[in-house]
This record gives sequence, structure tokens and C-alpha cells, in this order.
Amino acid sequence: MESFSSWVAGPGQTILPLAAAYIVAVVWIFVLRGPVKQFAGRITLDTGLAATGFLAFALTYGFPRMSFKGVDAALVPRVWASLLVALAVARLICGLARKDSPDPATGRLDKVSLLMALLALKFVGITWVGYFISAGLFVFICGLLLGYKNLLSLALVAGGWVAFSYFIFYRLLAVPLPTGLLLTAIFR
Amino acid sequence: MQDLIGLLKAAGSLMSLQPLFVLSMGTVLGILAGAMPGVSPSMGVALMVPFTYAMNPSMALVFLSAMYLAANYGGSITAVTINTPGTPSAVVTAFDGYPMAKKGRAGEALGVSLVASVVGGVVGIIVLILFSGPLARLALKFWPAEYFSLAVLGLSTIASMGGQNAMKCAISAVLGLLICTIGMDSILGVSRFTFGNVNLFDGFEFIPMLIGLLALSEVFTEVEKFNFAAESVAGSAKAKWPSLGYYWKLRMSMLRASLIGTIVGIFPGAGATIATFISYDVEKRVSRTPEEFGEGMPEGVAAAEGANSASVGGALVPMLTLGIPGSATAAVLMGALMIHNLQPGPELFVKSPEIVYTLFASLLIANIVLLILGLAGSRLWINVTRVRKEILFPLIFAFAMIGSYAVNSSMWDVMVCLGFGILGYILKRYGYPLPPLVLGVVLGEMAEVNLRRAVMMAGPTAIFQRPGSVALLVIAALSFAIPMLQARKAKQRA
Repeated sequence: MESFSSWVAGPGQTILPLAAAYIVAVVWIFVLRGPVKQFAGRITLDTGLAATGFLAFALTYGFPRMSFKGVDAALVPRVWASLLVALAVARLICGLARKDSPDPATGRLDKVSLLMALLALKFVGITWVGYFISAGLFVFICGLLLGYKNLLSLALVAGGWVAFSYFIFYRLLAVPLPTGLLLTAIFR
Repeated sequence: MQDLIGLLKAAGSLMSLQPLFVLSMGTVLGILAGAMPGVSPSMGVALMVPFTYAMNPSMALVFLSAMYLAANYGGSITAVTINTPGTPSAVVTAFDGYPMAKKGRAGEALGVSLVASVVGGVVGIIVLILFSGPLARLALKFWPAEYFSLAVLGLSTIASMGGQNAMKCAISAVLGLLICTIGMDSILGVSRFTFGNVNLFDGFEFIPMLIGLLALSEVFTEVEKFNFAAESVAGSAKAKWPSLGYYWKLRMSMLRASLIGTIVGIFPGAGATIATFISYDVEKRVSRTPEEFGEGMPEGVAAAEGANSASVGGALVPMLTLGIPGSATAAVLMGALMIHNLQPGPELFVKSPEIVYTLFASLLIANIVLLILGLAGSRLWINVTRVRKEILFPLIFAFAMIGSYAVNSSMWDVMVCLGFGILGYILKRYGYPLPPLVLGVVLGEMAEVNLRRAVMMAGPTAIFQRPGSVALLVIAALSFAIPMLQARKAKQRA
């Protein structure tokens, strides 16, 4: 057990999450090709939840061994992780036995994915060009992506947001909104 | 009698231009602080403390207490209009408030939220005035075992949240509880699930997590449906405001919520958020149409907001009588009193009774001011629901990101918000309700820390050794089992 604990506290911190992700991916691919493909989303999600529970349970063995009057820091996470595994496996069985309703119809996942990508870009943008430029651009592009056609209104809304965040958050509440590495380097 | 005379004197002294102006300013600033995600009531009040240095202690107290009261209400505005709770305690308001707004009933939702806040606030203060002494003594008798049982009672409310998805509800709650264990263990200082990441040492910040789970996931879900052009704009019709009769029908909901909010608010550490969950659960159980909760029930909004505001009075009970703050904002208020050389506690009633009466009177008057300003302001807030979704959604994203960033001035919190937004969207897509997850996160630490403390103090059977704890556990077990049994009976009958 000692060697397992030290493995979990060391390389296990990387290997175990990767293994969990791998299992979920394999299950997803397998289910998509199998007879229960109309339940693929549910089954993958329940597998993911069960894997999260297993992962959390295993990781508790890597916690430093410290206890006070017999109570240690791993006790409660283990209880929650075991419960999560038990419940997720029960749901998984329902899914595999087709007792659950099939996956919901797919809507505009392309729009959702683009939006998520845009949010990620904004996140990166804040670091490089600062909050104000990236927020203005984000509001403008996001509006376009969602199908708003009036460019002038959109530009006004984006500008209005930048002004609002500058006066309320930056000036009044003194929130140090990032000015960006690039601009800081140029105007230093 | 002496109390009444003191209260009337204090109320009379507040009826002049300067105190009323200070009170109104506190109320307006409180509403704004509460409505802005990332600015918590405690942060809002703390930001304003330096402005009170030059004021006399009474005026400072009037200003800050009005702000505290109004901030608790302010959180409901964004919860109703854009599903982004400005404060953690406004989460439950969003459960029914936002669906009401989506159905074009934002006026009703905002009206109910305001009136329930005022009723809750007044009831909380009346309880504070009448029973502060005995209630504070009762709260002091609570040991960790009772606090753990109180958390279990809170968790038992998931039984009524699930409807037909009891197992999904349980998974959601357990996931929340597990998420809550991330970070440095508060008893032994052991780092858990942090993967060596310093940002995780304190766990996930609550506000970014909430914004992600509730606001971002909702926008992603709406975008997936993406049929904005074909949809009629919810608020295009003239906003309908509730009549007095409409509020009268909700009187029992508001009163129940107010009592629950006050009682739960008294317990230090329990706070407004837990009070709102318990009150919402109770309201759902007594309702004849519990299945409509979460779909836009005004009773749900009244239950949440009544309890939220009533908890202000509750939180002030231990602060004034024992010198123990009942909430984070009460702690800031206590600090402000100390700056003015006033030590909250039993001696305050003896040494400076006029200060205590001024506080009571200012809170009562602040509620009236809140009602007037809230009614005027609601007509402005309602316009948010008239904004086209193509414009509103980018602004919600922008608001969510700046709100998350403002909590700690950290990009990590923005990432947390995005991550939980995606998690919430996925869970929601497959029918996992998000309120139990939020509940798990809210109650996780309280449950764990108090369970461990209780076991350290009295061994593994600690929670069964104290009558108060056992009573709470029995109530929790019943409140968990009864909805399940009722659902099973209904199924058998069908």
C-alpha cells in the first residue's frame, strides 16, 4: 500500500487522469459504433462521472498521511467518490439496458463550439492585447456569430461595454483589468 | 416598553434630510453592488467603509446597514433578468425567476422578488428586536454535530428537487460535494486534488463557479437551439406588474420564508444561501403544484428572496448580542463599528443603547426606501429582457468574464467560470439538474468540517450523541424519504 501511495502522489497524478480520459474516449468510440449509439452521449457522460469518482478515490491514496484522533483528510472525499461511482454505474446500467430516454436531438453544436472557441480566444487575447480590446472585439464578433446584422449597433454596443467596464470596474471599483503583455511592452 | 420608546426616538432622529439621504445612498449603492456579479455584499460594504470614517457612528451605521440590506436584494435582479446571480444567495431566486422572465413575466418576478425581500427584511428585523437575546443563546448551544446535521438537512432538499430524476439529482449533488473537497483541507492543511497547482489550494472560487454553471451553461443551451430570429422577444409585450392582490396571495410563502431565513441566518456560518435553499424546499413541499417549481413559480421567487433578506436580521442577532458575526457582511459591519470605537456584544446594549436602536430603526426604514427605489428601478431592469438575444448573449458572456475576474483579479477565475460553464452545459444537456450541484458546493465544506470536528471531539458516534443533532437528522431523513414515498405511491396509483 505504501508503494501505491507514493506512486499515486508521484507519477500517478499524471497517469491516472490520462487513463481516465482514455477510458472515456474509448467507451465513446465503442458506443458510437455499437447498437446503443442513440444513447452514446448519456453513456459517455455516465462513464465520465464514474471515471471521475474512481480517479478521485484513487488519488486520495496520494494524500499525505496525517490524522488527528483517527480522522484524516481522505475520509470524506472517499465517501463522496464511492457514492459517485455507485450512482454513475447504476445510471450506466440503465443506459446500456436502454431504460433511459435516448440522447437529445443535436441542435446547432457548430455555433456552440464556435462560441466556446471564441471565448478561449478572448481568454488568450486578454493576456496579450489586454481586457479592453479583446472584450470589445469579443462582443462585436460574438454578436455577428449569433446572427446580428446591424454592424453599427453592434459596434456601439461593443464600445458601450468597453466604456462601462472601464468606468465602473477599472476606475470606480479599481479592478486591475489586464492591459496585455503586448501593449505593456509597446507603451512601456 | 423601554425598547419601544428607544426605537421610536431613533426612528424620529432618522426622519430628517441628512439621514434619509445617507440611507437612500446606501440603498442605491447596495442594490448596485448586489446586482454586479463579482462584487459580493461583503465586498461592497467593505469598499464603502473608508467613506464612513468622517461620519458620526450613527450615520456610518445607517449607511452601511442600508447597503447590506439592499445588496442582498440586488443579487436577485440579474438572477431574474439574465440568470446570473449577483450574490450566491440569489442562486435560488434564479430557479424560478429566470423561467418567469423567459415567459415574458419578468415584471412579476422582479415585483415578487422585491416585495418578498422587503417582507423578509422587516420580519427579520422584528425578530432581531424582540428575540435577539434568547435566539443568540440557542445558537451558542450548537456544536459541530448540530452544524453537520443542519448541513445534512440542507442536503436532504435535493429529494424534492429531482422529480422523476432522483438519481441524476443525487449524482449532481455528490459531484458538488466532491468538487468542494478540492483544495487545502481546512483542518489538517493537507492539499487535496490540487495537482500541485497553487490556484487550487483554496479550491474553486464560488462566484465564478456559479456564473459558469448557471449563466454560461444557459447561454450555451440557448445557442444550441439557435432560432433567435423566429422567436418573439419575451419582453416585447408591455411588462405586467403584479397587483396588491397578487402579493396578498403569496403572503404565506413570504412569511414562511422570512421565518426560515431569520432562524437559519442566526447560525454563524450557515448564512443566506442555505436559508434560501431550505426555504425553497419547504415551499415546494407545501405547494399543491410542486412539479411546476423550476418552471416559473412566483412562490419559488418569494421563498428564496424572503429567506435571503430575512437572514440579514438573523445574522445581526449574534453580532449584536454576542459579538459573533453571523455572515461575512455582518463581520465587515462589525469591523466598521469597531473603527468607530464601538464593540459589538452584550455591552453595546448597556453602553450605547442609542446606537442599537438607530441600527434597528435604520434597517426598518431602509426596507421602506428599498421598496420605493426598487419599484422605480425595476422598471429600468425590465428593459434587459427586451434586448435581443443576439446582443444580450455577448453581453452576458462579457459580464460573466469581468464578474469572475473581479473577484480576485485573477484570470484563473475566468478559466474556472468557462470550465464550469461547459460542465454545466453538458450536464444540463443530458438532464442532470444543476441546483443540486450548487447545493453540494454550498454545503460541502460545512458538512465535512463539522463532521470531522464532531468525530474528533466525541468519537465516531458523535452526531448521534446530542439530542439537537439527532432531531435535525430525523427531520432530514423524513424530508428525504417523504417525497420519495409520495412519488412511489403516485406511480403505483397511476
